[in-house]
Amino acid sequence: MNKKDFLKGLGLGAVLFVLFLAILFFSGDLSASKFIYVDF
Amino acid sequence: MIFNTCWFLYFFIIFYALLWLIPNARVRLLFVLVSSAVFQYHFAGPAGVAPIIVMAVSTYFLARWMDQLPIGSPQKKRVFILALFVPIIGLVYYKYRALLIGSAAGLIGGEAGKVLEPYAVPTALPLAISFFTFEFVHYLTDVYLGKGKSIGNFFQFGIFSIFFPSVVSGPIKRFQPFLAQLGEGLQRPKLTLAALGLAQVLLGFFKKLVIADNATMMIHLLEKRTDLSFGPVCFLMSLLSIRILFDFSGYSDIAIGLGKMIGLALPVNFNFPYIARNITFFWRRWHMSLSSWILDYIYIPLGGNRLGPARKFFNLTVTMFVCGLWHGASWHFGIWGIYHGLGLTLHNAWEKTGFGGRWAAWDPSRWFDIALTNLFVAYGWLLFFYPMDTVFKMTRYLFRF
Repeated sequence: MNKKDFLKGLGLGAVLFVLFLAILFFSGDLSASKFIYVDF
Repeated sequence: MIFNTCWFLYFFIIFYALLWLIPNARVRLLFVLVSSAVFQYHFAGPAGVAPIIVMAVSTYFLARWMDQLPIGSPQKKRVFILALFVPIIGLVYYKYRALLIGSAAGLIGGEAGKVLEPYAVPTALPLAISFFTFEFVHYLTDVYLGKGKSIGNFFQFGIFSIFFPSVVSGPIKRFQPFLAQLGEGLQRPKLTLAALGLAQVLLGFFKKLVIADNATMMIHLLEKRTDLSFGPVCFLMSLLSIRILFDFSGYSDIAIGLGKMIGLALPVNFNFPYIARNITFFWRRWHMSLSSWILDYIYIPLGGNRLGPARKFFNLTVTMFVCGLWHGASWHFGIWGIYHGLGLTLHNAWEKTGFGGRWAAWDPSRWFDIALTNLFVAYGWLLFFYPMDTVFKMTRYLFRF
């Protein structure tokens, strides 16, 4: 694996981690979460 | 629900681990098909699955029959109409029967109206019947017009019909590009693509759970207020705009990301719609798989823009009315559609004036156009989310009358 691919992978991993943390700590009301377009 | 449930999380983890372990492409395809059937059965139940099976079996065999008849023959046309009849009647019966009969009962009134009322009770909607109908209508029409051969392989037809990432709320697939990805079976996804798919899934959950759901909580707080005025209604319109974009583009990101993880690309559904310069561009960027569908299968068959300005206006209005009603069995969705149809017509007429052309050529006008388009779309979300009496109330607050 070259350095460029490694950095790309690292960047993607960092984005995934930040998104995961944001979902974990800043989600709205999970019990009431419902997609607008589903079940119509 | 669906994607944001514990059941789906466990289902997908087990499904995905097994998918990577299967060495044979054909078995992998069969496994995705069986898993999609499990997914559909779990969320729709037997009562929801039965009508879909009827629609799928009829579509499969009638498309095969149609393919054997010469192009342009009257018999082919008859088979095509019969084939379309099944999914469309299914959709009307399950989704619009109560609305149509209820409205007719209201219009007729008296004893005759009362006779109709018991038939206006809504039945449970088979999960994703709107999406099934649109995909089957596309499939049948393209086979009829010779834009693609009917699918002979029942497993491939099955995977096109019930591929679980897209089955519930799209994106609405086209069978030619979707099935072109399958050879003799389903290849194992590339690791890079699978990682990008996972990132898109997480981005979709972020959009839905963090942005859309927090906006929804604020909307519910605003809806409870009895002292609304111009400012709070503008804020409500902004929140509705944020909510619906991040809810549905989040859903689409999850579906597309799951598809990438499995190794099957799904069509893009959103392309930054709120930076669109006008309402025509907005519809090229919003729910793109639906807007291209209504263009190809409603607007163009109605005559499109080939029959003069008056007919074009009529076609746009009818197309957008159907598009609106597709979103839900309530007249306010139809009114939302007509509102957008009128917007598209006005924009079209404006573009044809000399001043419209000069205005568009002046670069700073872009920012004014984007703001105006967003205002138009945001007011439309009031029509989309609320019944008409609430919209009138909100409009009074906006214009202080």
